[in-house]
Amino acid sequence: MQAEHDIGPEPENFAGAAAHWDTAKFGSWIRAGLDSWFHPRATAGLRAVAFRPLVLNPDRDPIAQLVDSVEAIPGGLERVRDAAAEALATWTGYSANAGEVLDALLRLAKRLPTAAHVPALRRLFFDGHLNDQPRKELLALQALETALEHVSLGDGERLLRDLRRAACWRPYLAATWLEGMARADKIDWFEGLRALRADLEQVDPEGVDLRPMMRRMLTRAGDAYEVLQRLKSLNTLDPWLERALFGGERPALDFTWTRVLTDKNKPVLALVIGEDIAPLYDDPDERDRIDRFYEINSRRGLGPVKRERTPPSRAPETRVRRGRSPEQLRKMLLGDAEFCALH
Amino acid sequence: MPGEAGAAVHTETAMAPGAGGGHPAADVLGTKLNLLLESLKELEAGRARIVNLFDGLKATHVCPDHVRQLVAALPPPQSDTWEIYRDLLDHIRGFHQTLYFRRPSPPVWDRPIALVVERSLFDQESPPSSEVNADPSAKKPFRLFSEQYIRAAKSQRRVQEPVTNKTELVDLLEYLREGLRNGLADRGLGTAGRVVFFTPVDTLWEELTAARFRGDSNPFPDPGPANRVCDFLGLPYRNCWLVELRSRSKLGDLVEQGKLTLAAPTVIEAWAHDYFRHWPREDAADPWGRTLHVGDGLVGRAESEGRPEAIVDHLSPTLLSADFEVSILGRVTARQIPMQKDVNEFLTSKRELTVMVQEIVARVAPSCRPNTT
Repeated sequence: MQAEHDIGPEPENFAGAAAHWDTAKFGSWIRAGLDSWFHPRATAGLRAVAFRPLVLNPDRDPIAQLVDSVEAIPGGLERVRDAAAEALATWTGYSANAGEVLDALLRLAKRLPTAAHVPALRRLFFDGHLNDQPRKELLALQALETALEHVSLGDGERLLRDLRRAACWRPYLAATWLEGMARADKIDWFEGLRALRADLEQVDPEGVDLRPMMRRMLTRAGDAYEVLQRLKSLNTLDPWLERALFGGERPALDFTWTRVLTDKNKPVLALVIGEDIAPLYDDPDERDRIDRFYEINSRRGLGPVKRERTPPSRAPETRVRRGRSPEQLRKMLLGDAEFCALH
Repeated sequence: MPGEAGAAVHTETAMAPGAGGGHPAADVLGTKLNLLLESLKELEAGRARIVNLFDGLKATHVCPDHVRQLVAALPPPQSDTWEIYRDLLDHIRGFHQTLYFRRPSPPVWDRPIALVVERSLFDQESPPSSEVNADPSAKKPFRLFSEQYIRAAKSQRRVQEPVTNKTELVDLLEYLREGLRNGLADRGLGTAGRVVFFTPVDTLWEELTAARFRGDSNPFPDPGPANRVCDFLGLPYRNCWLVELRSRSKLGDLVEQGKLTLAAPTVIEAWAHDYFRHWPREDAADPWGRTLHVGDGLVGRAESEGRPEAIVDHLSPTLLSADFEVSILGRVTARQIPMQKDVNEFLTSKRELTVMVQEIVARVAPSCRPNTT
């Protein structure tokens, strides 16, 4: 648009120039731009014009700026998607800035997923391309996160399953893999947790730092009754798992007290996930397994009084715990402030 | 503010060879400056810089001596406009100790301040310092958090992204808080040539950020407030989470405690920012800069002038850790942001760019008569 005042002839304009670029041109633009941006001798000035005819803020991440600029060009984003796939597929780790370039390409691929990324990611993992990179752990995690963006594709899911069994698998990938696959409903969270247990413990020996991931995974699982059944199926609930699931101020799994309406309003402990609860009804056949939860709750100490909840209607009456005498129950709960508070 | 009116103190710095007024060397410098500005005019991004430089010189917030020194140090003009832009930015950064924080009468504020950053600043790839003599660690890509903290947090999957619900947002907030307490890299914010912009926490800011997310008791934020913050601050961010770092101390205490250098910004410190505008334009008394209000892809057309802003040179990890609290302002949507040409148009505002170029040359190299053909 020509202004009414003098601002001179239209200057060189990225949107105008790039509107005519094909995928190959976008590809060479991205590769040259990233190489310049991350070059060991790059200066702020060089970064600002690395993607000419686009001028970027040299102090921000280039990927967000690049995508935002290309989005203004009709069809531009799709050509960049293809160009990024080609750049990722042909990336090599031989230059000093190769790791930074790869990191940027992976972020671009994560933002613009396409089936063409999957073989490129497979190549990264399985051909040992990350081995010589100084920040290979972070790059591998970035590549895994990118792969998880493609899990809805058959090839993407296969890549992720193959990765789990591959020689390049490392324990630090376990938490991301587990949450990503469970989130996409590609694995059962509980089976995944059991399978990756050793790796997870290696990443977080205290069972403390994985709590946010456990909490999110269980919140998504959502069904307290199902979770309870899964946990009851374990022979033991060892200290690590107990800390990871029940520890902390915001535990993945919590307890509350509720009353059994069909059993003289007896108070029983219930497992809580979000708003969903599963009362620990008495069952003589599972008494030892149920006792574990009472013990865990006792070990958690004198927590704040929780509000009473109504048991979910799905809980069958046949599961009401009848086998314990009031004395046994009192002994078990002795010292528990929550119980005392109910009386 | 006491003692601020007309308080432009222009230190007579050592003039570069060939620079100065009243002799043929000034013509050489003037010609060089004219060529430089004419080249900048050819770039969309260059036009806003010309207007801001003009306004800064006119308001005596930018010192002609410093511009003279900068231009004299530049290599001979090249035919490639991009290389001219590159060299200019590098020289501005290279001369930061001479050129930065020269605007007189810095603002005074007896309340806290706030910084607004993209979530990616904490742990994603950012450019390294470009200072020539920077220590080797400064040459590595910049992240606010240490690599050790990031690596541990990522392998433990402390944060799920994209964040889609309150549980995940609480995790993100805790990750950021813990990182600010115990996971900062050894550089802090602001390096050689890269200053830290902030806005004062005043009534409007409290109102703009009233819905900020500070923990489990807050609702999952709507996108509106984060977009509005970006609009008011003239930030080009899209599709990202916006984080606020708010000081607990008053600005004055912060400056004293951290031995900070403080000023309102000029185009010199803000050369990299497309949406910067010099404020105030005329010889007015406002000691603050003021951001360019952008919204719905429009620039400067809202009711507001934007937010007051100023800059400090550096916030050390110790200061960030001890004195700043984190909250999440919300997720910025794929909002429309103005094109550079719209920013240029607004900043130029019925003035003639050619005349501004002549004026700049006349102020910086007074004896030179720029080529007006």
